[in-house]
Amino acid sequence: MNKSRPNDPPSLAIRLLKAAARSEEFHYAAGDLVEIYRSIAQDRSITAAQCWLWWEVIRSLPRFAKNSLYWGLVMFKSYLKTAGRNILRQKGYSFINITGLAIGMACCLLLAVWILDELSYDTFFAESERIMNIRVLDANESTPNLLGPALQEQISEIEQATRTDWLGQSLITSKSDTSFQWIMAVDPTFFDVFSFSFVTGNGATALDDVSSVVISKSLADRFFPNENAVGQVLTLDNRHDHVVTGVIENVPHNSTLQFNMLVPIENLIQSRRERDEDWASWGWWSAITYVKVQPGCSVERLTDRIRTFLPEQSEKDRELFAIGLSDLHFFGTGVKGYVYAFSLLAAVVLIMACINFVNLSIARSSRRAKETGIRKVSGAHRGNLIAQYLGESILMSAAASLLALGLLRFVLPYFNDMTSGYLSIDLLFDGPVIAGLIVFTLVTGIAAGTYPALYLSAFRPVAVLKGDLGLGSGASRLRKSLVVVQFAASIILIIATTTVYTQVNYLKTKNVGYDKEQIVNLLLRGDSRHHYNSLKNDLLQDSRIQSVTANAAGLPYWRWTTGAVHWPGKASDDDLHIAMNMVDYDFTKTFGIDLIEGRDFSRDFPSDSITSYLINEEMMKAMGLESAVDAELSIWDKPGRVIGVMKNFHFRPLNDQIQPLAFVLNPEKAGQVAIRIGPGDVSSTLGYIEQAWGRNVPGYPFDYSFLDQRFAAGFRSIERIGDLAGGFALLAVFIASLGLLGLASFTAEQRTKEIGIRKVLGASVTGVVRLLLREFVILVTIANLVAWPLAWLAMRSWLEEFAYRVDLGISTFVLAGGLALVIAIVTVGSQALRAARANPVDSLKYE
Amino acid sequence: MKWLSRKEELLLLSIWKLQGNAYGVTIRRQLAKTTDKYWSIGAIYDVLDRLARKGLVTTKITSPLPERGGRSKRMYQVTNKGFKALDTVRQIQTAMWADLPKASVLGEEA
Repeated sequence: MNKSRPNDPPSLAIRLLKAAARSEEFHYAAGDLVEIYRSIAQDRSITAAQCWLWWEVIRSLPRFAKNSLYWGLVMFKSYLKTAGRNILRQKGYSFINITGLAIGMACCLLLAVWILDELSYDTFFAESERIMNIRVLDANESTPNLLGPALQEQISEIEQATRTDWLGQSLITSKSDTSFQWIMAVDPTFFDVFSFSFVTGNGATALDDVSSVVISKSLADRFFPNENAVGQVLTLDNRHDHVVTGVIENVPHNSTLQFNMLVPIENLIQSRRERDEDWASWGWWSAITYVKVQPGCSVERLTDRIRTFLPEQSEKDRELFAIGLSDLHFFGTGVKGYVYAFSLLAAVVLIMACINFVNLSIARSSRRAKETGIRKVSGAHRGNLIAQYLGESILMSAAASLLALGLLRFVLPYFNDMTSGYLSIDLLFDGPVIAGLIVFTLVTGIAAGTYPALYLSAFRPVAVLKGDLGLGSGASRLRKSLVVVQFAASIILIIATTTVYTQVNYLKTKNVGYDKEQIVNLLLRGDSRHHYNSLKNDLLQDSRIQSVTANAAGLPYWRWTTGAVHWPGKASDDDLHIAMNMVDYDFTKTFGIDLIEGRDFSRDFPSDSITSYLINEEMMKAMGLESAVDAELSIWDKPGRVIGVMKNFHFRPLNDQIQPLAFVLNPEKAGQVAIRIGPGDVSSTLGYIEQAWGRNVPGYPFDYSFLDQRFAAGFRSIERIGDLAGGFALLAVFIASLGLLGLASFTAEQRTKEIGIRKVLGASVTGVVRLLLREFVILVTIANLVAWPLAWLAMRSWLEEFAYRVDLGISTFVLAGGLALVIAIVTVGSQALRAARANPVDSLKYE
Repeated sequence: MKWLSRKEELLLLSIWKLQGNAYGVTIRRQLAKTTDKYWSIGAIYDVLDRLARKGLVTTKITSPLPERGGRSKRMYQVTNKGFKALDTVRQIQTAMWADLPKASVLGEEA
């Protein structure tokens, strides 16, 4: 081949033109160019001709490009129109495909919302990049209380340091309301660092006076409804009057600092001094230290500057370091790990959805094959067809993303409820995020549509119109294994859901050893404990109240233990820790706890308050005794005797075994009041209790709870795991069914002729259905075999956290597997039935 | 309908003048002869495209020719609609040019 004949124009120029112009226009224009080129080459020189051609091409390019862009848009519009018609014509199929994609996308969007929310933490402060938290290496967030002021004085990079600490929970009284609130104590410079926005008041001066207080808007509305809170008085613990100097907007959920009420830190110093504690010293570590640095000072630079600060100040060998405010939320929480895990999960779900989309599209190829054939015969290029099919999948993915947004809007409240989160879909409607969403939609459409587009556009018209689809050699192993994986995941999640719910149900209904129904709890805080005896006597006046007792650490759960316990014969190396509680008379009577032997504390024995112990069965076992009454026992170096042994009951979450336990009689320390009420009208009884409270404990708000409700609330977090697993199980089952549907219709399509021949030779409809089902039943069985051991391992390790747990019965596994099988058969059955019912004449007419 | 643009008018007239031998190369040559400017191929096809879309010209495609590197020609012919459009602009032109006073340049009189 002679590559460069003198008559040929420079091919690069022509190719350039071809790239810019649409094909039709290019053909004639190039013809013209070649013709003129040749005449110039003949008349003058080849060089002149080449120069002319290049010049001509370059100055023509913009016009051609503009033209081809215009026609491109016209064609795009037509593709979209045809795509829309195609989607509407196959409503059921489109619905399944769009929903599948939408679910995958909704998962990704949920993840996006979650990540955006996590990233939004602490970013709302002015100049938040200049705010840092100072910490001591290998310690929690507490720092020496004097660190802040010292840093500000000596480190020039620090513009302002400020400290926060908890004053504690106090009784707050305004003229119209009373309630307990957590109060944070801060330096008066707090608002110089953290720009919380004020509704009324001025941050620069709000905390200058010792007896000032700044409250959130919600508290202001509560204590001073319909009036201006600033200038009003709030009384703390019935002792200290504070003037409200500022009301700030409620602290947003995405703030690491959470508080409702601020007082100057001087209050904290004074209140500790009353207890003979020197809060303001290097030895006390309870303050959290924040600093605002000079502009341009980085976290690394500040860390370098302060690393050796502590040893120089207080001769302690502890290094300091700084954390940027934007990293504070993530610091040491492992949230970033969750981000990766969830990203992976969302990506897997989306990829599964895309693969299912591909499978379903190809399964429908015979329907589209004729269309392809006709289009090609009428002159469509392969490029046109690819554009056509891609247009369809992009349109579908656009519809899916809208649906996904709707789905997310619907699901988010439930999700927030389950995770106690504050996710909002509004996070997605932000400029760059919307652009990201559009790109995401396009990418998903292209990812899901490319393979079908290439596949469907490749049909040769002659073969297709003759009826030969050439669908390759069967559903590939890849597709089959995908279905297995999807079903295995579904089965695992179903097993997890059932196990979690059975376990929760078991825990809820398990006999805890005491009667938790019909018990009202009251809490005596602070000074109100002195009123306990009069309250108890008043309560017992009413016949509807059967019994009243109190203890220091209330049921359902308490955590108090002690190691200071001795009895004769205790091994010296036995460092047994036993559970402790200080109780009032009538504890066993009120809670309905049976005594194995001995008696409860009684007023008839005055010595009970000094030398008597009530223990449980487990304690008796620990002491190695058959009968413990009158046994010597000493706790906290107070020798005494056991007066009775209680049957075991649960006072720890059911994750834990029952511990040895001892009660001492000490009503003065018992703040948790338990009242057993009789059957009948609960609300009138409660009304009486409230009146008695008002008569005996004036000035304290009446807060009550029911023991059984508190008990049930303890299971919320476990139930959440079940709810989440259930939600994901539902998703997994849906996506797996879609995958199966794609595979089933593909196989049915592919075996059309085989089925036709079988029917002609006398096969029955049931026979054919069974033939088609068998393959999928085998797949689901394999999925079960994969899923069971994995689920068993996962669930066993989860259940090991509970001392009292259900058995992992084989029935759970069989049930989940059976459910998966039923879902598979229902999904495949419709396809199989249709394939089996088809008239063999139709499938064989081309032969 | 909208009046022809000057470019469209020139192209239509060239096609008319070429009497059945009108395609890219000849049209360009014809235009160069009368206007003394070599139009770019892109500019010509731009206008030809518009004329065809408006139905002012019809096209015919020849068989591929060796001297064009194996490509065909697209031949153009003015349609009745095209002639009418030309007539309209000519009438306007004549009407506008009729009864004009003698051209006088500002400053010559003073």
